[in-house]
Amino acid sequence: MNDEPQPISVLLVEDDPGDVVLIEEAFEHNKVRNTLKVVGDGVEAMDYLRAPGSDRPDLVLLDLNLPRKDGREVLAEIKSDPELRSIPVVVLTTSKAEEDILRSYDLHANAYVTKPVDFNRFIEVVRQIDEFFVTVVKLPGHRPRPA
Amino acid sequence: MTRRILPLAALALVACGSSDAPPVARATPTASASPSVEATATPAQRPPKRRTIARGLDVPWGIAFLRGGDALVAERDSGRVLRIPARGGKPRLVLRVPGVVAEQEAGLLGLAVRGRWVYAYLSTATDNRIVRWRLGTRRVRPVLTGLKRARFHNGGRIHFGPDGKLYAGVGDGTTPSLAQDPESLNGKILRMNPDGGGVRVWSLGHRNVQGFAWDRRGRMWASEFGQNAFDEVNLIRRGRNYGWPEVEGRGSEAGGFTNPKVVWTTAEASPSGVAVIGSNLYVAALRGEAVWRIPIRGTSLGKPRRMFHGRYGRIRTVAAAPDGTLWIATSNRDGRGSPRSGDDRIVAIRP
Repeated sequence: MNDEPQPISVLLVEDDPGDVVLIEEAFEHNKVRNTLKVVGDGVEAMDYLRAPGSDRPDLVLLDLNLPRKDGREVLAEIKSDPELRSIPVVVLTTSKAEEDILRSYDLHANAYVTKPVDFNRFIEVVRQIDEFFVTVVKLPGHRPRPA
Repeated sequence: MTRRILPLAALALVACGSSDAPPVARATPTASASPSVEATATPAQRPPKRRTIARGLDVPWGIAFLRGGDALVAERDSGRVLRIPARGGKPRLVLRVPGVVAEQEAGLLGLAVRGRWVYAYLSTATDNRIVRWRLGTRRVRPVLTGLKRARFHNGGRIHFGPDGKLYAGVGDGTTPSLAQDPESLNGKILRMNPDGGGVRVWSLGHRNVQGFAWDRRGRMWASEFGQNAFDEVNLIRRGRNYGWPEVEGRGSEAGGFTNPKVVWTTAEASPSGVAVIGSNLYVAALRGEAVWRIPIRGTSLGKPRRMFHGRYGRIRTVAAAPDGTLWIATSNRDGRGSPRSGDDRIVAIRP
C-alpha cells in the first residue's frame, strides 16, 4: 500500500469503567499509538465535541446505554450537526436488539458492533476496529471550524 | 452438591489452554502448588492497565498482602494458602490449613496479615473459627472458635482495621434469629484484639457479611448478601443494628435499625469482597458477575457503576494492592458458575 498508517484520535463514550480498561488495553496493542479520549456519558460527549478548544476526533466509539444522555440521542445529535456528522461513529454496545441495530443505522451510524461478553474476544474486536480505521479506512480529515 | 476437586493435571491443562495475554513466566505445576501464573510484559514507563496475576486457582477467597507486596491467597475448597509474588510469578504453597471442611459456601475463607502473623477464617467440621500462625511456621493456633457454621451464610471476611484490631464478618449460619441475639456472635461484625481477646459485637443484624473495608477517613463500609430481594452496602458504626432478619433492604428506621446506603437486587449483585481505592468503593458481585464501583461522598455513596459485567463471570474478592492496583478474583469454580479456560483467575487493574 502507500502511506504509513497515521495515528488517529478517538473519542470513546463509555460508562463502564471496566470496558474502558479493556478498550484502552486493546488500543495499546496496536502498533500505532492512537489518542483515546474517554467520556462517561452522553452530555460529556456532546460537550466535548462542541467545545471550541477540544480536538475533533477522527472516530467516535459510542455505547448506547449511557447515563444523563442516551447514546441514541448522542448519535442523532452528531449526525444532524453539519460540523460533526462526517465523523465516523461506531456503535459499541451490549445490545443485540434488532430495534437498536436498525435505529442506529437509520440515524447514520457507520457501524454497529455488539460487544462480546468474553474479555479476550472483546479486546480482539476492539483491536480489529482500531486496525481497520487506522490501516484500511481513508478518513475525511479535519474540516476547519467556523470562526 | 458435592464440592469440586480438580486433579492437578486438569488444573495445569486448564491453565495452559487459555487464550489470555501471552505469558512471560509460566509456572510448572508441582505437587505443592498447581496453579499456573503469567505476567504480561511490562513496558518500563507504562504500567499495564490490566494484568493477569494468576490462573488455574480453585475458588480463591481471601487475599492479604505481605510487606513487600507479595500476596497470600486462600483457596476455599482445597484449604490451601498460596503465596503469589507481587509482580506475578509462580504461586507457592504456604500452608494447607488443617481442619478445613469445605462444603457449599463453607471452607477456607478470609485471610489477614499483621506483621509476621497470618490469620485465616475457616469452617471446620464443627464450627467456624479464626486461627493464626507465624509466616514460615506450621503451628496453627486458634484465635476465636465456636462460631456457628453451616453450609451457607458463613460470612468469612477478616481484616485489620485502622485501629489495629481484627474485624470479622460472621454470617447468621442460616439461623436468622441469631443476628438479633446479643448473646450470639453470629450475624455480626466482630472486633477483637489480635490475640483473640476482647471480642465484642461491633454491629449486629447482619445476614452474611462477606466484605468490608475502610475509607481514608476511617469509615467502615460492608457488603451484605440479601435473602431474596435486596443486597446492601452499609456504613458500619459501632453498636448499630442493620436489621436482619426484621428488615431486608431499606425499611423504617423507627425500630432502631440502620438503613443501607446502597441497595441492589440480588440478581444485580450478591456481593462479597469490598475494597477502597482513592475515593471509590469497589464491591465484588457473584451472581451479578461484575465489580461495582461506587463513589464515596462523605457518609453517603454515589451512583454505583458496573464494571466488567459478565466478562469474568462470578467475582468473589476485590482487594486494594499496595501498588495501587485493584485485584479481582473470580469464583467460577464454586459450584454455581460456568468455569472458562483459565478459571479461577486473579487479574489486577489500575483504576
